Amino acid sequence: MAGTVITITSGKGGVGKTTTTANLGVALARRGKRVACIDADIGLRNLDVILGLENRIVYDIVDVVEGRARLRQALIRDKRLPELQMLPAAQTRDKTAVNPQQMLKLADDLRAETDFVLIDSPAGIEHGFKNALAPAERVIIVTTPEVSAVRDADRIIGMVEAAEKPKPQLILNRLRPGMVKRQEMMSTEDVIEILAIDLVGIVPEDEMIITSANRGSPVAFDEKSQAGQAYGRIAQRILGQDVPFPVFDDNTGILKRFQSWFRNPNGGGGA
Amino acid sequence: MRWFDSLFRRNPPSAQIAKSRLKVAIQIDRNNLSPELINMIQDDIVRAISQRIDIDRDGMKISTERDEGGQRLIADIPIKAVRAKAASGE
Ligand SMILES: Nc1ncnc2c1ncn2[C@@H]1O[C@H](COP(=O)(O)OP(=O)(O)OP(=O)(O)O)[C@@H](O)[C@H]1O
Ligand SMILES: [Mg+2]
Repeated sequence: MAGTVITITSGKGGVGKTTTTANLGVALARRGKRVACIDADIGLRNLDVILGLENRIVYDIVDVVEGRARLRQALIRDKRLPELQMLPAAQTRDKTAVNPQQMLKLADDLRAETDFVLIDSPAGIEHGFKNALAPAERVIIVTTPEVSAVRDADRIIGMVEAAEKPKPQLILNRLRPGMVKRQEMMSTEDVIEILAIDLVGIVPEDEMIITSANRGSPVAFDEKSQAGQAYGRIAQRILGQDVPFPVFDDNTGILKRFQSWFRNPNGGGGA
Repeated sequence: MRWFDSLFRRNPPSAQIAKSRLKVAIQIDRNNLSPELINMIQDDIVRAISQRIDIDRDGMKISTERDEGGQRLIADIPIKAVRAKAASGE
């Protein structure tokens, strides 16, 4: 059976598309699924370093569409996790080097041999985004609970709709439970109410994302950290399992707890 | 001293402000009635109404308004003269 093509996009830059693509790739592959991740951010390739595969690149996506390399030659298989492969973006070209038809063909060839094709979309609403969207059978929108990111997400949802794709699903990234508790950050419920799409996951702000990026070893490799566990749950939901959404702990110290007690003398809960 | 601030908070919490500002911004973003489309609608209205009565085309105003219930189109059309067009039956 042919695999499912999932495009991960956001509108706004820097909200976590590449981090999400890498970690979902790892989390799905750890569950025995054959996954191919495509870096569609031509000119600004990053998925390779996040996955720790940058030193094995020979050919890239443009070499494949222009016929200089076969798809199989360009794909890099992760030695830690053989179910996972990556097709790198070209670094010295721009987004116009590939068109949506070529992306469709590429994704089609990849689905034939995998369970999931994950496409890491570039930021923006232009050529690169349209390339990434063209072959999508499912779309995941990544946003942070900030006004600019949520607004851009809404714009993207409209464009996904206009492209007659199925309704996208939402990953809320970099949630800071302490700030939400203090009502200084929009909550998951707030963001869902505004965007009116289904939630597929919440990833808390987690320093481990940065240290794991430093190492080229996504947190989803060992699902010990909060973020790693979150990606594991998202992978399960993508696989159709009904996994409850946990309430994230405000993992701040005793001082903060004292402060919140002071603010809310009944203790606990709050709004 | 954030807790101190929030104990004696005069302003609504910033999350609440973010949410209500976003709702307005997104409403406006989603409004896809382009000026071109409004002009076309205006022409359609003029054509339809002019069959029955004389209207002041230049004095006509088409606008949109948003509220809780959604978006509405508002047409303000000055009448020049009510002719007996309806009776003549075209
Ligand atoms: N949950 C998180 N906790 C902490 N840091 C995070 C989290 N998610 C992402 N980051 C950090 O945010 C930055 C941007 O992430 P990433 O590169 O995945 O975003 P992107 O949407 O792919 O960006 P671009 O639009 O440039 O492609 C990175 O430095 C990453 O480490
Ligand atoms: Mg990226």
